[in-house]
Amino acid sequence: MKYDVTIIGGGHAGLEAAYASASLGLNVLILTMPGIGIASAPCNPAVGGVGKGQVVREIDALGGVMGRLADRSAIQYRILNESKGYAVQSTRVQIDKEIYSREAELLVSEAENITVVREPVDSVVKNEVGEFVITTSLGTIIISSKVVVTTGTFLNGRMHTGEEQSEGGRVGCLKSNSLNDVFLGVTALAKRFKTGTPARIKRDTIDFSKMEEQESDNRTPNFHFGHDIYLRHVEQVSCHLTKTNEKTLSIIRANKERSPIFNGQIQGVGPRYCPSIEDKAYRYVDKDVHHVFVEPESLELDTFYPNGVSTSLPKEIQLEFLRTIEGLEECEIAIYGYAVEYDVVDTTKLDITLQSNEVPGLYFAGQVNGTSGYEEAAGQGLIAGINAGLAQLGRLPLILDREVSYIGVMVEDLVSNKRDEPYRLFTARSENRLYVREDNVYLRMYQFRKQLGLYNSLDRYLD
Amino acid sequence: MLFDFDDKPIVACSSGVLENTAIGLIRLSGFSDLDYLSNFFKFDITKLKPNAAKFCQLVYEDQVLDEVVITFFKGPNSYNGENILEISAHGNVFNIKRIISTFVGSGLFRMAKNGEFTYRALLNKKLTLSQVEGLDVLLNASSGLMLEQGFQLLNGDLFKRYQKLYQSFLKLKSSIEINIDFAEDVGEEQSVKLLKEACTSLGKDIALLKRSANISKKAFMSPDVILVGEPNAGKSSLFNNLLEDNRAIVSEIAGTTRDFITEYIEIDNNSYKLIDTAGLRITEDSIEEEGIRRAISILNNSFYKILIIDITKILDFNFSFSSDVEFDALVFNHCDKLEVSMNTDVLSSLPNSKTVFFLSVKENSIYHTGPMGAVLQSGSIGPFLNNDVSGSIGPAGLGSIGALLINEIRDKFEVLKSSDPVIVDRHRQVINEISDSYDIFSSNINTLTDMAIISAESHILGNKISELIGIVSPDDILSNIFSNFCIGK
Repeated sequence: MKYDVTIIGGGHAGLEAAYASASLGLNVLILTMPGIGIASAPCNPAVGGVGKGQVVREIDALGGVMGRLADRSAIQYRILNESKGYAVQSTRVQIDKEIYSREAELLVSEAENITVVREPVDSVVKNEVGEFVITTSLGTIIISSKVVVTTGTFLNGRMHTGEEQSEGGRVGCLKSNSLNDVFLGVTALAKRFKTGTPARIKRDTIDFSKMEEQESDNRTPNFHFGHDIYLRHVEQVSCHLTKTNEKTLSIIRANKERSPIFNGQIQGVGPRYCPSIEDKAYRYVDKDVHHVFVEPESLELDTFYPNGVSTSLPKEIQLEFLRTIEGLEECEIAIYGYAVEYDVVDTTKLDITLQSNEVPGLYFAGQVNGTSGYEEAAGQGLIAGINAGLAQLGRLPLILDREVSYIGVMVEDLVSNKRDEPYRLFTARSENRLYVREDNVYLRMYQFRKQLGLYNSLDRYLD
Repeated sequence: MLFDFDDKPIVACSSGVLENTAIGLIRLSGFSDLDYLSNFFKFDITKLKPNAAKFCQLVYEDQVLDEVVITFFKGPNSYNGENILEISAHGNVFNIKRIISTFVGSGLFRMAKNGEFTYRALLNKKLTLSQVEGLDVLLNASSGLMLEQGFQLLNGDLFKRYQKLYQSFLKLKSSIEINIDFAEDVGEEQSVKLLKEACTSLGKDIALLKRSANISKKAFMSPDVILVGEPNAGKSSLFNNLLEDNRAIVSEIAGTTRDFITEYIEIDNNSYKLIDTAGLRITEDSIEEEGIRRAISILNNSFYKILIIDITKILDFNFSFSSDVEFDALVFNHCDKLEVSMNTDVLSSLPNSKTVFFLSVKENSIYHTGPMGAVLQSGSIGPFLNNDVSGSIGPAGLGSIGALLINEIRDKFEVLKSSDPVIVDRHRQVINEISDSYDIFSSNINTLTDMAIISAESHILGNKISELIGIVSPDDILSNIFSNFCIGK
């Protein structure tokens, strides 16, 4: 089998990368792990947020898919920072993760020039004519001119729940080999990174009446420019807010030595901005009250995501501390929280198109680059996918300036500095925050749309 | 002073080469590793331990140049962040020059330009600009006061206050960003509270610094002690009395004119210019009038102002000072000759003074003082009662009024000094600009709701603060947020 561009990994970065290079008319393959849907949401079931909403709209204005998938699966809308000025307002939606992934699968299956193969990759090497030879664990051999790596947390992934450890990129999944085994000649960061996710709670065991309800906002505009501005594609539901208390935190503090993060079992570096509940408990010893947003994962599933209590404590402790929280006294856990450690590429060895300087033709995007968040991953996937495609076609690369876009800020930050913790976008990272807004996204992306040759009705007013 | 930066290793004599001394200190800086120096030593120089002195021979091409003591400072833990070798050699001018030209001649080192060691320290962020300025003040100090200011800037209280200002600004900036990016995590109310607190606390720091910056620089650099009074009130006697034990051994500072009789006195390593002015009186004589006009103008800028009045002629005292003139000391002379109690109404027409002295030669007079001896009464002059005057009598003798005044002058200087004056002109100016920016910022924060604009406004303030100390980068701000606040959903 021979392809122009092969994407290794079918998450949010991989999907954007595949769709972007396919839009250029190239023959694209997505190689992904068996048993996982395209663009699944293994953590927080939300798209957008402060700084991230801007990224989703930038992706949308450049022909990407995240915005339209989010709209179609959005079960709750909100504008964050609404009272604080246009520049820092951002859209965030809670998504139905089942619908989101299903829509993504549909999109891919409808694209004639995207093929999906669900097999783990064993090795990627260059042959004598400079093409990549990809071998899967089932022995399938694929030849590809360009390769985009969007493996997320899978490279050498190791999960921790208390003393239990297992191999894999996420719960119930296989792991890939280490970065250096799969991609010869690519430098990995010396430190591994770590991220975590909370337990999922069964719907029937939650007492929502004890929590503060947050309804969906019907004045929030959709992400995708092609959608009717306030159209809601699926039923709207509420999220609920509750809080931890002194009891919760004392249980966590009492079990410090059983926490893989603090007893040395986990070596990886986690993000300070998205700390696990253990981090909060041990680092901020005076604070017992932390927000917990109880978010539905899907209209079709009966699991809820307790946002704010990500943990890798042993299973019985997870249940014990959750049950101290108001409204969760009777709760039962469907899936336990865990932390995962994974290999990360040294992004300073990438160029501004996210291509490896060490192995030209090989691109990296998403969590494998040490970022966190679906939006960050998708933004990079778009850049890597478009540029792999443009390079294949012998066209000039697409480079978003940091002055006009958050994607530009992120890519430049990634390739110019070594990461010492997972990277997340904040509006504070942009020097030009007053201009890089959601409301002027079409204007900001106009020049890049022209470069790509995109056109739709919006451009009538800008041309 | 700016250099075209090259990172070639440099050499210079740090102790001066103008005269023969016992020891001369030569510094080598910027070499990649000790092996680079192996041509100059017979032993294995790579085994040299950092921060330990070693006695050895300095050689070059089989010739022993000198016996020296060497100390290795390993970068980045050295003065300027580079590898440094200090060589203490015999301080003969010819010897020092020969050693330096050997290093330069080897092609391995070049002569350092003036200040280049420190310039590299600045480049390597071992020193901030304000510290370098402090070093400059220190190395070029011409008085004990300047030495002290140099130290304060280099690593002392003043530098710490600048750092504190920077920290306060970071806090403000962080609280703005928390308000934007992390309001959900921290909570709306909490984030607004943080912002208000940070703004107020930065305002306080700036106000304090501004006070220090606006202390008269002249009062520090060349403080004047001025004596004024009517003709024959006793100015010259007091002048000589003050001069008696404190005459400074300093030459006249070039360029100063001698309109008046001036001498320098030294108190605690600081020199003061003591000025005896023309007698003040209302006059028709235009030359005399000009002299008086000048006296008044000097008076206004003087550090310590003494008014002397012959108490027996107090009723004739009719010279009027402008209302904002406040004297440090009011000295009433000839109190012993006053036979009747003073009418306190007379005093109320005199200018304000912080201290009052009564001088008397008669020990048993109502003022209990000896010849030129004094009783000190503190507090501003105003209506007061004669019989309130009290105090020690002490052995009467010339000099005691001088000693009292000297103490007063010393105290006033100490008080001023303890308010941490800023004497570097650039700092004084920037601090005033910071204060102006802050005023604009704090009025904005009360009227605007758009946090992104408030944040942009804070950059203007931040740039000014960076000018004073260094650069504020977004990473510092994020770092500060993460290390001080609990962020996370």
